[in-house]
Amino acid sequence: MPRRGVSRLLRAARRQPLGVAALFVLLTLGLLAILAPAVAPQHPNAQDIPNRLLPPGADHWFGTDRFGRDLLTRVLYGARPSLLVGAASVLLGTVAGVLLGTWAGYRGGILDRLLQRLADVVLAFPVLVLALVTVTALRPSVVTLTAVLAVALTAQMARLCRTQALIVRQEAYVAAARSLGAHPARIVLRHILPNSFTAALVHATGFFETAIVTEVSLSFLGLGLPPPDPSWGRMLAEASHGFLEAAPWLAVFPVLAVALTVFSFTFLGDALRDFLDPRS
Amino acid sequence: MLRYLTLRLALTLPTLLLASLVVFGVLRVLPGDIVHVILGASGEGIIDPVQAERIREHLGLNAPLHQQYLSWLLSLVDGTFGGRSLDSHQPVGALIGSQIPVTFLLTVYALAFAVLVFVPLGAQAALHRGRWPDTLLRALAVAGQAIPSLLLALGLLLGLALLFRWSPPLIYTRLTEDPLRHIQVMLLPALALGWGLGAQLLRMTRSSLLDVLGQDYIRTARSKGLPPSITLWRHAMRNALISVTSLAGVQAGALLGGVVVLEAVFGLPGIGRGLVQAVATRDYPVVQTTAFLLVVIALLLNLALDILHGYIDPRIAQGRAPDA
Repeated sequence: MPRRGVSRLLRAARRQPLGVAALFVLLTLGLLAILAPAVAPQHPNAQDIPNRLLPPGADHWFGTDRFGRDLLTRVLYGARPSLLVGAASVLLGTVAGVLLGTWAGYRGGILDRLLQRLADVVLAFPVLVLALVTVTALRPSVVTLTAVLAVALTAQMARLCRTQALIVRQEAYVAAARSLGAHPARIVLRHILPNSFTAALVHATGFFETAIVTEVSLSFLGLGLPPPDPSWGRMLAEASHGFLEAAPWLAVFPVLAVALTVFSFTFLGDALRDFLDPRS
Repeated sequence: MLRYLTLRLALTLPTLLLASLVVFGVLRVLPGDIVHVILGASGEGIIDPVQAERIREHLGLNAPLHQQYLSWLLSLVDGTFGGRSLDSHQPVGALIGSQIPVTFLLTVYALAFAVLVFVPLGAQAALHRGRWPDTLLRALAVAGQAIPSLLLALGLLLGLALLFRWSPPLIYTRLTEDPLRHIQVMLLPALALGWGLGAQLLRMTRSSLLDVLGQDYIRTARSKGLPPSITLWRHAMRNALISVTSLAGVQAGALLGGVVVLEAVFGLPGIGRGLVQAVATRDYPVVQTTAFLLVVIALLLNLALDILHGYIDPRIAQGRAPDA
């Protein structure tokens, strides 16, 4: 079976070159972000005023900013808050949302109705607005941002999996499992939940994008994680305040970094959908 | 149709009420004394107990929670909208009143751009299925869908600054004051905001139009000799648009998030930039009312689209499944 699995994967990879490339890019980015202290040429906050605003060159591949800080280093370090908040919120939100939604859809009743109203409320908030309200009350931190995004994803995921569970619980094999005396938890985990797997995975990949864009937007607006540690959003904000013409590289590299990440998640999501759901 | 309308409204109201409770709750009940946060924003360090008490009094924070909540709700109805801004001391109602037209125009321009440009493009893609216009337009759609509006805006600004040494005016000008300057100010944010939605509309229009064009009644319309344009717009598009409007509803929240960011990028004095500034200065009455207002707008947009949906497809309003 593992051999067949591998050959199936290889065949799929040949059909989805874009998806494979996206996965490769994301893994590289993640690795670079984790290893930033080891691979970055300099300390992210090391200032070198005489060499400020240098264009990209041999010494500084991406150039330097207005304090003479190495831009390549800051782009590498800047990936950390985005990817960390993204990964943590996707993980938490997916697990919570899939379990809650599947359980509610299978059991129905008061619990289901209550959860549905709660999901309605969370879904009524644009994600960025929910984040803005939260950082007003609590200072922005990795934990705060992760929590807000995880709550938003939980609601979306619960809605998705509930619908799946509602459809599947009518199936004969679920009735069979029930009449054989299977424990409800076992029915949910073994017979209902796997049906939501594809949809949940694709949605989680898509939400990664939302999470990163929200983190970058908050930092751009000056409401994200506090300085001086670099984040893509704050680098964009610094570049766009008067340096677009004078030092365009300050904006170009963070823009490319965010675009590359977001595009990769889009292509990975599309490839996953095609790979896991041959009907579409 | 009337029953459908009432039902939709009846479902929206409790959600709105709960949403107001969430906004209020997040700002009041979450750990952390809001007064300390407000005072902390204007400089770290010692907090003057007299000043803290004055702010507490001004915000009515000494009243029991349920009373605070109810008086805020009442203020939304009687037009005082939660009192005055802590920052500018203007009444919140006046503040928001001056911001709404800007946000409204930006959203309308963006929607108009998305719908008027990208829906016809989607139709063209469907009509030229598999040939080069289709390939080109689909590539455009994928790129447009993936790129966040913040990046698109910065990319546009960067490109225009480098190529043409042009940047948009920094000061907002009203349409009635100077239409030409107004267009210069609003053009880029409207493009950046409409692009992402437009790309999705293009994709959706293409695929649902392809579905519809394969149906029997289209063949009938063609074979009885109707001109292709009438077949397309009166018979095919009407049905294709059903799934397109349902998509637009899903996107309402994302659109408003984009409004917030783009108003801040381009310095447009709308609700979004107002919210961002209020969060930055911990201007708590403004955050509370503005955030709730954005939720109300998102819900109303959804409601409007649902109603449009019911109008385009009467089966939905009658409670029958569209696929039956």
